[in-house]
Amino acid sequence: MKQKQRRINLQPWQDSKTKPYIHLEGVSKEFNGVLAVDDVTLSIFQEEFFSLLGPSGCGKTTLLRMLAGFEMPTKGKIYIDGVDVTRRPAYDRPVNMMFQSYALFPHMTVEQNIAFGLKQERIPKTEIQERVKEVLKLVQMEKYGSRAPHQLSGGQRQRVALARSLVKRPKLLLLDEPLAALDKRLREQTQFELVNIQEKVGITFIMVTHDQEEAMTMSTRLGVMDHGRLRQIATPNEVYEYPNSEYVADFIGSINKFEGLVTKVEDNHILVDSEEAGSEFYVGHSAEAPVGSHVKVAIRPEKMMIDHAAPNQKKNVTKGIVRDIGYLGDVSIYHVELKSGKIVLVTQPNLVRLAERPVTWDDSVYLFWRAENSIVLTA
Amino acid sequence: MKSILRKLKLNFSSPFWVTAIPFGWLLLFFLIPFLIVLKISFSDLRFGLPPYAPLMEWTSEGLLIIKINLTNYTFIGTDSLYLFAYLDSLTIALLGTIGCLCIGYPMAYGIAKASPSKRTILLMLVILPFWTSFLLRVYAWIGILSPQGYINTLLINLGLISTPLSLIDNTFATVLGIIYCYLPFMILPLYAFLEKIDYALLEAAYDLGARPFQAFIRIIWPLSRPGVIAGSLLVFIPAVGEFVIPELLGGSQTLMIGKVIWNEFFTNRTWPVAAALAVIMLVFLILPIAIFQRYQEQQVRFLDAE
Repeated sequence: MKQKQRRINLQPWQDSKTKPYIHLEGVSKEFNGVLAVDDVTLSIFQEEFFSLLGPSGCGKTTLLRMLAGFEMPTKGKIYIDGVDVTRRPAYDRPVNMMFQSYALFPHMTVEQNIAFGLKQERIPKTEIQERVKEVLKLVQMEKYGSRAPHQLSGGQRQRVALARSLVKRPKLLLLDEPLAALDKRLREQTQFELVNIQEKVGITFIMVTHDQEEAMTMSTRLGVMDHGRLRQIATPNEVYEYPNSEYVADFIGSINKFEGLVTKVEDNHILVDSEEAGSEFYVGHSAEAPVGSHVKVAIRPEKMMIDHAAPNQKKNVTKGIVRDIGYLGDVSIYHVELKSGKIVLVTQPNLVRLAERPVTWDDSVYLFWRAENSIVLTA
Repeated sequence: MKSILRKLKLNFSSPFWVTAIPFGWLLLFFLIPFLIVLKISFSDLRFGLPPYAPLMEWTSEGLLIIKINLTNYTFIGTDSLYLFAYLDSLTIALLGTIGCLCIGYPMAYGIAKASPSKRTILLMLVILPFWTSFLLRVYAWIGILSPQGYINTLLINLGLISTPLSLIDNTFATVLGIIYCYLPFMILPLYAFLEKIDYALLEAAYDLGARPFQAFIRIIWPLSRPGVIAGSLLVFIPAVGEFVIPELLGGSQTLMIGKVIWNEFFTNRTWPVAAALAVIMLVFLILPIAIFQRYQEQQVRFLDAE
């Protein structure tokens, strides 16, 4: 827990004096005239766990492969620990990668697989043995050293692949969808293990994933990618609470959006009149929107309240009829239809048992939220 | 009908019947002919038809006399011609196999790494020579290699040589012919194994610091070894007994065992000696076949485990 505390306090990206450890400068990659990665500039700091998040085909894997040295950028530069590695081949970079398919050598035992990278460096045999043992212990696979990869389960192979990429003590470890091949329960368990291992070894991790939950729980910061571009780089909390664009807001979690017209701009509030919502909103987040501009106001479903009785606030309230309820056990998702016909999602924790639930189908309800819980999306 | 079959235990989908077909095939076309050859190799030479004496004879007193004549084998041991023929055959077959491997491996690797659409075309090109007669293709090499052939004519016209090089009627031409004719048998099994390799393994090796050559030696080569063994045996085994290629390209200089057996059968009409030569050759070849078998079993076990 102490280490966790240190991580939260340590936010090198906030400090302008900290030098980035990994730096990408305007990196682009073209495949047959198609831009897979489009002008990406990104700084990652030492001991960070950075995630590249995006749908398939967004260029995140290409970006990772350029960091590994399997692809050369068409434009731009890549620096690792201050050294320009843009043109260096994969075997000459202080970077190791954990492959999505694990890519374990089928004709070698677990130990031989792990020792492979060390043998390339011509490290003495006794040291190789020691380091292999050490890393096997780290991933809790001490007993499986002499097994062949095909004798291991999926989770065990994943550990071996991690051990093999860690044993060379790289400056940067790349993980290509490291948990995609595991089943859900094992994946959740492994997420925390992977973070713990990363904290123990203190190596900078960059992970590619399409699973937002994975990216949120594991990373210090994440970058949301779309069509080869990085749309937002921020901490998981910032990306969720303050998405900088509609794309990011939609990609992570679900969100309600209302179109409206800015009618008043105050110091730290703006007033938006939304016909779609049938009411006026106060938005408590500073937004660069002048009076008269069209904006979209976004509110997360779990930040909305639902009740039969009218709340004693005049702004940020609207009325609707419950059309559908999705029961997920811990929470329920209410689909509320507004006068304009718009369906709004509201998530509420199930504080009481299902039978006692106050709000039910076809009820007329009020929806309301606090001004600081909504944001204005300008892009 | 079914119940009758069941009563007769003739369930044709049972493992017994499934394996019975290849076993029956081997019995009929391999084991029985071999036993006939083996029988001839133990019999006496005689003039007439067939040119050997039967092994078993009933005398008029009702006695069964079985004569096993081992002199055919001892005779082969006394004449060094046969020993040299065997050694020449093994050497030529080995050189041919190495040649096929050196040329075939890069080709198979190239095909395996080509895009799927190109692969089909390249594999077609490998098989294409089979569409013309084997004999015709070997004859064509005479036209290329002979003193008046294309190579010598070209070199003389270019003024590089004044007298034609002796490219034909020697071991060189025989090995060349074997490489040319047996190359597809090397490429196809090699390709089958190379194509199966996950090339992410190669990237993983680079990632762990292996240069391309090391990555090849430590990853691709060991994983393709079953293909190398299969291809080598498919070339080596028939090449040892090869008759047509040394006959047409080897001249009198090259004495391969296939040609010796032919001479014994058809020129000298000493069938028992020829049969004994064939039996000895088979014994020589059983060894590599056994190795092949063992590797295949290993491979099957490996694939089962996957």
